[in-house]
Amino acid sequence: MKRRTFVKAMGYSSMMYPLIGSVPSLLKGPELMQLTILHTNDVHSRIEPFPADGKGRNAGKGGAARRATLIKDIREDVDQVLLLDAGDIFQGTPYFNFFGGELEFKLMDEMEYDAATIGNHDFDAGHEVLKERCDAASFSMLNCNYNLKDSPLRKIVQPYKIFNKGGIKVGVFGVGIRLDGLVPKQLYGDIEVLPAYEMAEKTATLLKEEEKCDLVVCLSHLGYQYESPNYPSDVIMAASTRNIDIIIGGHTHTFLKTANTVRDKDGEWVIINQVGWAGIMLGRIDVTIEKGKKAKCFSCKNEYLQHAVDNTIIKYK
Amino acid sequence: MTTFSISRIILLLFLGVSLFNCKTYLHVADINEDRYEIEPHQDLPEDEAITAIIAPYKAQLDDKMNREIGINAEKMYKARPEGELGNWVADILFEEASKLYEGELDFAVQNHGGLRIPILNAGPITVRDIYEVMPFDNELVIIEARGVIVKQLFERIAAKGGWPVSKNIRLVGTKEGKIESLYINSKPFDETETYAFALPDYIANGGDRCVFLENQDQIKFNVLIRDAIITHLENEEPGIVQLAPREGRIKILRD
Repeated sequence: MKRRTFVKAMGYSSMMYPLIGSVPSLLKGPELMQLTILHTNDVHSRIEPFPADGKGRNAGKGGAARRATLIKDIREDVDQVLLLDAGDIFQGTPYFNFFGGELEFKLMDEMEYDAATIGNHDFDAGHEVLKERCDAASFSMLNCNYNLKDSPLRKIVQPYKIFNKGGIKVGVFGVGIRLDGLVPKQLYGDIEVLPAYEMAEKTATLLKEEEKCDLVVCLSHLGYQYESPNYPSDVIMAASTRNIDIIIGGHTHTFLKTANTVRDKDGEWVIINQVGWAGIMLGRIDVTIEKGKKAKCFSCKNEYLQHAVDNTIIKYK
Repeated sequence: MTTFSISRIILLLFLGVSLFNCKTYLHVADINEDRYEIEPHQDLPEDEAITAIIAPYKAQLDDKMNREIGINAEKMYKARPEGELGNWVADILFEEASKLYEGELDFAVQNHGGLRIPILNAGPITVRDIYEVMPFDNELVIIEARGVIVKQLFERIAAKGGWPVSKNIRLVGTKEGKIESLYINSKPFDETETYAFALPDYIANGGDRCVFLENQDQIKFNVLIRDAIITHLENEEPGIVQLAPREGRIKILRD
């Protein structure tokens, strides 16, 4: 993949706005709203960039301070941002060994993350410590398939959260990986892991059908795809559930060249994305929503708009 | 182009899907995706507020981490089926565990995934380097197990394409997880024997699909493997680490 210049140099969003602004000039045209989802996964306590010592392909990459600048730049360009993390915030540098994840959460708060899900390594300091970190942070920790029983996390972890982003109702929920064999038992106590697909579909359906969310986003730490079908994965989850629109994944440290699309069991498309690990990349998904008085989608069929939207995409791959 | 096709697909997909809300309809009209690589760039300066939050933590850490505890004589690589880095770590694990254990230890094993850097360069070794090699808080444990269990461990090691093992081991295996030959301390492996070996608690607890170890009693010393390596280096005289060369501890046969 070619290296991108950063958001200001890209012109990506600046091209989107004149387009949207031009729509009302079409007679009785619908209002278009944009939501920008920004996401990370498996940052693994990579607070500072990898040492710029020429050792290995990651030298100099990542780091919270540059990520924060990029996020701020994007926030200046677009109105509605949802900033998400798909778990394994902890473990991988001495920052975690010495400060137990305190700094990781502080920095995410400063960057104004909206929500995260729990990765297996987020238990590495124990569920009690994770609870303390969540208490001190203002973003939400989401998981729908861990039966938290007597864990202190029960007081703070929610299955889902609904965000109102400029009139767009976005339901975000979390799904976690099995803990047995991945996390020492004493670190997660009596937390029971419930079937991922079943709980994901139940939560997504509640968000779509009862809560009437316009968009349902799943934060998953299951992993992108496995050789063995015995391990739940994002690809299989997408295909075997309904009512999920977007899966932001983690765990397998997968650097996707582009987001993948999979048909769910109703034949609807699900977008799956994952951006490697260690904060080397920031993912971005822009959703354009049409708000109108008619049941018919104006812009979905509008050739002018389709053409214009396609032109805003910079071909970089 | 890919982004284009995704948005087309999504466009078609959401056709006709509408959500009724106070006579207002919301449609997902389009979805585009993008990704940014975060690296040093003139248009991407470090955010000052973030740097300020990190500063006091970094200062505390730098004090501890920049301490030199040895000198590496030659560049070491992490490799399969065998690499200098893994050999070095496994030998230290064996030596440090032997000091703690009352009986006679037969060998030590470290999972490949527990080592997190590809290369340890020649030159001064700092505490930070050792944290980079092994960030996980893996505890050193010893298991005394029957040959049938030990056999499964080496089958797993072969199937994984080789893990770091101490100098006591000579294993020839296949990718399918079959043992062709196994010598422990120059003696042929005996399934009826009991062997004592040191390993990370993560594996002893059944991690990396070593479920057969789950029910084995563990002898614990409340020592992290990373700390054992640091202690080992601090006590070495004159602190120069000699290479643990690739010597055929593990060979994996290709078909």
